Amino acid sequence: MIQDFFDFFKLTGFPDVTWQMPVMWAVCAVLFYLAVYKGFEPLLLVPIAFGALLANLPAPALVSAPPGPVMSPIHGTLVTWSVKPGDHVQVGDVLATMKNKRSGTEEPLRATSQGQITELSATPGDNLFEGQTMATIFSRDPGGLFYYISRGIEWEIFPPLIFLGVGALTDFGPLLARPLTLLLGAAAQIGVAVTFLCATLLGFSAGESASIGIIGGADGPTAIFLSAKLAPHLLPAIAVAAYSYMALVPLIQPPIMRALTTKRERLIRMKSLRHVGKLEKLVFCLLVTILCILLVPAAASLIGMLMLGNFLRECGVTDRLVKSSQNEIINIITIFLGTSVGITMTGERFLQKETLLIIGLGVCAFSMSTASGVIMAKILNLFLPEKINPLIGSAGVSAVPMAARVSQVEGQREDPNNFLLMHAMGPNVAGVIGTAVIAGYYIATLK
Amino acid sequence: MSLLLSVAVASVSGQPDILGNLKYQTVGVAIVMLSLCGLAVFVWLIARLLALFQCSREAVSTRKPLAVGDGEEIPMEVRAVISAAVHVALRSPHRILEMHPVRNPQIQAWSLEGRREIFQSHTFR
Repeated sequence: MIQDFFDFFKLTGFPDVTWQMPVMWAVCAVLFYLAVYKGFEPLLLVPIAFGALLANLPAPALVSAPPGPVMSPIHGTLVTWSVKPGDHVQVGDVLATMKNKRSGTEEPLRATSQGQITELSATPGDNLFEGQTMATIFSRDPGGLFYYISRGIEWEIFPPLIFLGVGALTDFGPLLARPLTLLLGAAAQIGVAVTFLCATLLGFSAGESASIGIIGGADGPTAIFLSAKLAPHLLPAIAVAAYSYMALVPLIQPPIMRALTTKRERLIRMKSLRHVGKLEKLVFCLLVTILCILLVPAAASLIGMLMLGNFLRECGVTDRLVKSSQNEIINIITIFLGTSVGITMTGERFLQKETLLIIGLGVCAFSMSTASGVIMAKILNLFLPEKINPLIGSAGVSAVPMAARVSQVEGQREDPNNFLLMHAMGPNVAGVIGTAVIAGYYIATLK
Repeated sequence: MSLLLSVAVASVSGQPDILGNLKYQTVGVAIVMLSLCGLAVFVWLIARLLALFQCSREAVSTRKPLAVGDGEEIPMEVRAVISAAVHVALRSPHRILEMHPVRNPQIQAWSLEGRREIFQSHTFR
């Protein structure tokens, strides 16, 4: 009978618990704490943390890919096989060792699906291109739930759908009333560029550096979109850093804003914004769609969906579609996006020194973006007859509308009767467009 | 622009040094700046054009006074209420050409309007 219990124990998940798993449970607990008790972006951090918890439990069937051809993940040479036809493999088992042609290092090729090896179509010494079939796995298992949900990130479906909701929720009126604020949104992207340079100095590749730098854009969907394309292995750390820092905007930005402005500048009052008509808003949607997609076709799905959402909102004849975009669609996709990101946070991928570096560089990105927005506002004031309050420059990072609220709070700290919120919404939404444009530039040039 | 871009891409892929990366980032930021600057100019131009168009429309609309049908006098305060209701319902720019009392009080005009709205927004199979 004791033997029976012992045999049953072998069938449970306990023997498969690795040392990284309890560490990741602690990381998940921290994320849950921040989201639930501190209110840090709970809509995303809760699904991310729950997905991460699932990823760090011994349940490989949850993420297993459907059986079929095993394709080479890199361009390189097959060094040796660790399996032979007829062997049964589980998700994560080493199938072969490959030598990466670019880096010259040997890397294990792990199974992403479970089943029986029916064929090995490459032999040691073969030069294999990325995507070339190497073996075939057979099983009647159709693949795990999270394999299918995660396709939404890999196939670039979720971030653009989130942008549809963001577009339906955003009023571009303040931006149109004062088009000059587009420059503040553009200036905030300097922080992205500076962080890119810092990351390359720390040894990250160009694709990785771009994905880390985009954290400074303070735009979660764009950060996920870009890193899924250029550095998928860094996606979990980048997503966690991006959303955590977006939640920390009210803590990170004010000291920088105060350090870069004088009391006199913070007291500047701005003229009320003019009313922007429906036709103007509709033309703007079409204009941004055409111009930005012509300029950076790689970001077409992001910009296109953002502007579609906004067009639905402003045209005034699609109420039901707008309500769906603002509520049901964005909520459902948020759950899927968060859990898909979380499910990639396995201990082996997350507990690396790169994660700490990314979290450090994330602060740098946010701070630089905030600073460059404020400095751009000060530069514009040198030429403008009607001065703008430089505090709205910090809203050039696209954490909508939190960054704008920070400008309002900081302005009212100096003058309780100064209302900067609507003025800050201009650079805030310009930041969304600016981040999408620079992401498109990186994808077009680095992919 | 394409020349700049090719130089930038070459800088990154060919020589991953600080100077190459700096060049690459400068081009990237310049592209973002120029595109949003261009957008700002377009937005400003559109606003100016629409303002001109609006001015000319307003000038035309002020020429014709509001007509009150059937020779019946509608009190000024009722006219104001009707105008406000029309504004709330339509939102888009409009001009009220005529106001007159419902000829047949048995016809519930607002009820008909409600039904018209429902038929417009629902598809019947």
